[in-house]
Amino acid sequence: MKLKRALSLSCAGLLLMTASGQAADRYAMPPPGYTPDMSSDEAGIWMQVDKAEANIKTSPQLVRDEKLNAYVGGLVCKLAAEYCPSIRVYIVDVPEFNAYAMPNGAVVVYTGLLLQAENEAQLAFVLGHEITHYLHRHSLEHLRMAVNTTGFLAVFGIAAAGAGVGLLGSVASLAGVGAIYSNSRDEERDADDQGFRIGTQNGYAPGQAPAIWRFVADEEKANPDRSKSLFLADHPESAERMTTLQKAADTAAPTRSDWIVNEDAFHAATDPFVVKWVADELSKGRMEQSVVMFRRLAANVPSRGIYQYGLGEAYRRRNQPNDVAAAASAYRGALACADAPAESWRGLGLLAMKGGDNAGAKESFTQYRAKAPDASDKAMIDFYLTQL
Amino acid sequence: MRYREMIALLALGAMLSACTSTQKQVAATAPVNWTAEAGKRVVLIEPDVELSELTAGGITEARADWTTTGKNFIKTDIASSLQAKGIATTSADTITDPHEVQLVKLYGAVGLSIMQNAIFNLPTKKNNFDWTLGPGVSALREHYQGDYALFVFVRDSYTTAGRALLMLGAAMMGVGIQGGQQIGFASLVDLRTGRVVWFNQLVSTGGNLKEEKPAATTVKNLLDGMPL
Amino acid sequence: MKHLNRLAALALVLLAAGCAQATLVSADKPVTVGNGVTVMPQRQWNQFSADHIVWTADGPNVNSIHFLTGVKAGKPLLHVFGVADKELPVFDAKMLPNDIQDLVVSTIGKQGYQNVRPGNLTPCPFGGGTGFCFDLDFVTRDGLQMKGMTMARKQADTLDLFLFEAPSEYFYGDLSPVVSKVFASAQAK
Repeated sequence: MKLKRALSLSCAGLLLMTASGQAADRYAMPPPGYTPDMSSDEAGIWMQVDKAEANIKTSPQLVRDEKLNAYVGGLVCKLAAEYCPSIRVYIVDVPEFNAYAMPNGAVVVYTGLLLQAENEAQLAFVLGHEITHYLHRHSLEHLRMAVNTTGFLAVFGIAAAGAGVGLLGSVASLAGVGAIYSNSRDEERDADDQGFRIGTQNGYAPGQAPAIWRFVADEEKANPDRSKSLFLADHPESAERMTTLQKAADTAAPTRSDWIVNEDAFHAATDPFVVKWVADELSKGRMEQSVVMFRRLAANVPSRGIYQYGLGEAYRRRNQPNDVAAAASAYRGALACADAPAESWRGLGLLAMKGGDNAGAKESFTQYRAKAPDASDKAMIDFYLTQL
Repeated sequence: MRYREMIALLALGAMLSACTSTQKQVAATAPVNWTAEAGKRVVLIEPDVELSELTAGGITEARADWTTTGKNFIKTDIASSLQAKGIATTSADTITDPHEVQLVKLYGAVGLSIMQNAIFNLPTKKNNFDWTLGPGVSALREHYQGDYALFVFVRDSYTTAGRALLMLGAAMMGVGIQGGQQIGFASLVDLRTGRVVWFNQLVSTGGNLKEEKPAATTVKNLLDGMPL
Repeated sequence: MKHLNRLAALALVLLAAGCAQATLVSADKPVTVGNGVTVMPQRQWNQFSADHIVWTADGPNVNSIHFLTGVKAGKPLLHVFGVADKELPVFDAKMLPNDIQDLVVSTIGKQGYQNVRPGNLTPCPFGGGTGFCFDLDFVTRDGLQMKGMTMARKQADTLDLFLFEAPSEYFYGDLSPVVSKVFASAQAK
């Protein structure tokens, strides 16, 4: 009897040791410069993502601006520490909140993320989360390129959704869809944990981590088409994750008094592009989400007229009861700012014209023509003026 | 938009249902006229090749090792095939110039149309193999110094043992499940005019690009009818 | 790839239904493209007809003219494969040309095209009256750059809209003069 008990105790002990050993191996980072064995699934995936990366490099949607790349690339490098040399960052012109890391070290950041983040700290926590998926080699077996790179359907021009996939469309298409991981909950938790740690180790204010995820979740809630959300596909929402992150933030916050958000540096880097990114966001025609987003951004930086202009456009095009008044108010708010976008006059003119206020429309369109003499729709606005 | 997908689906459906053996569509060819200067030279655009495993669950999983092997066989066999006819070849392995990139992507769109036309038989193309990338191809000509460009595309999947069993079981119940397939095309573009002078399409349920001799057969089939 | 058989079956059904057989449009006879609108082809085209008429020179994957005629209020401009109609933006009878331009941009985005940018919105003749025209730039999911040209008019709460799309490399420049003539030839009730 005694012997049996002794054995079972030591067995339990062994099991315990094995379990923790496994956990450590699971998230062991590969050495920098690692490449997988050629016959493995991993090699097959790397081959596909290498192709996807090559496609990104020559894509018309790649943002090549040196300053912006230096800023975002520099941030990723800082966060990746000794893995910086293994990582290549690509900024891509897609108006979606997303960033992802491919198993071969390529990191893709969508301009939608750069529009929606409020400061460098928020950007850092998102990037830290994403590169943790790479650093910890998560879900290689779950990587699903949204356009099946070897699918015969792709060969015949059938994409998961959308047109214009040619014969060579079998190379993973990055735009609007990108790599979709179906990470397990454990992996998401790990990415949250480690991403949070990376951010705070670099001095970023802990409260910004739950903040940005919360903003994005709020905007997604406004999305009537939630099943197709790119973000939710990558990051299954969970109240538990949000609570955990908030708790971690609350615990970490008092440990330093010099946390940074670097709002100024972030705006300095992104300001030259915001007008374009706002237009791209509006082109999606998803006004419910755009309203929520622009309301937040306008409240965050009230001195920047471009966000209020975006809000005005989103209200006007959403066109629900009371949206006309809300749109007009937003446009006027935009015009009161130093960077008053001339298109706000056009927005007021369109509202007035539809509302039967011919005098108001005439005044607004005239202002638009004066402030934006080279507008590409000037001939149309001139035509409206002849009708008023 | 609905048209493209519908048309693509139709092409796929028709092809697969008809396919139990190699099916080649050899398009009408234009005579090849070499330029007077500098001898005969063809630019080999880096072949777009992918070999994968088709699992029981119907997922195709790319295999890097098979792909490397298969692609090397294809490149070597094509080069030696042309060189045997006294034609020099240059490889355009990594195209980075933005205009050249657009030309290659345009080729993808036009090539797909040519393939789909085997099903749709567009009336304006009846007995009139008239496809072009336009004179902008002169950029490729100047860069790589060739008179013609050869485009090759192959997707090849191999059934795993698991899937083979599944297919057997399903067949016994009267349900057809697709096995591994080989789809490819090879095409020659005149770099002086942009015209597609030859297009050959390969759809097969057989073929093995992982081994030298069968690979040589596939390449021979791919280049069938090439007017060089 | 699990969907392969289902799609192949669908494909064959569609084939049987004849919806993807192209007919020849000859250059010299006017063609009715819907809602009482006729155009002169100017050259030969291949015509597909399903929910709307499409003309193509080299295959819809390469170039196409979409004749979206008689679009009613509350309806999308066209159906998009893989996207439910209720997810598509719809035409509203009170829309101004600027709004219709936005509608085309977001519809094209729903088709999967990227970086859709409109330009040069201007009034232009449509049939006997005044419509409006604008250009487009966009990119396919493969990264192929495309250009587009639109001509439209609103008539008694319905919309008639022509949309031409082709790659920027060669095809748009090659076909746009003749397409402009097709558009200009529109006659409407």
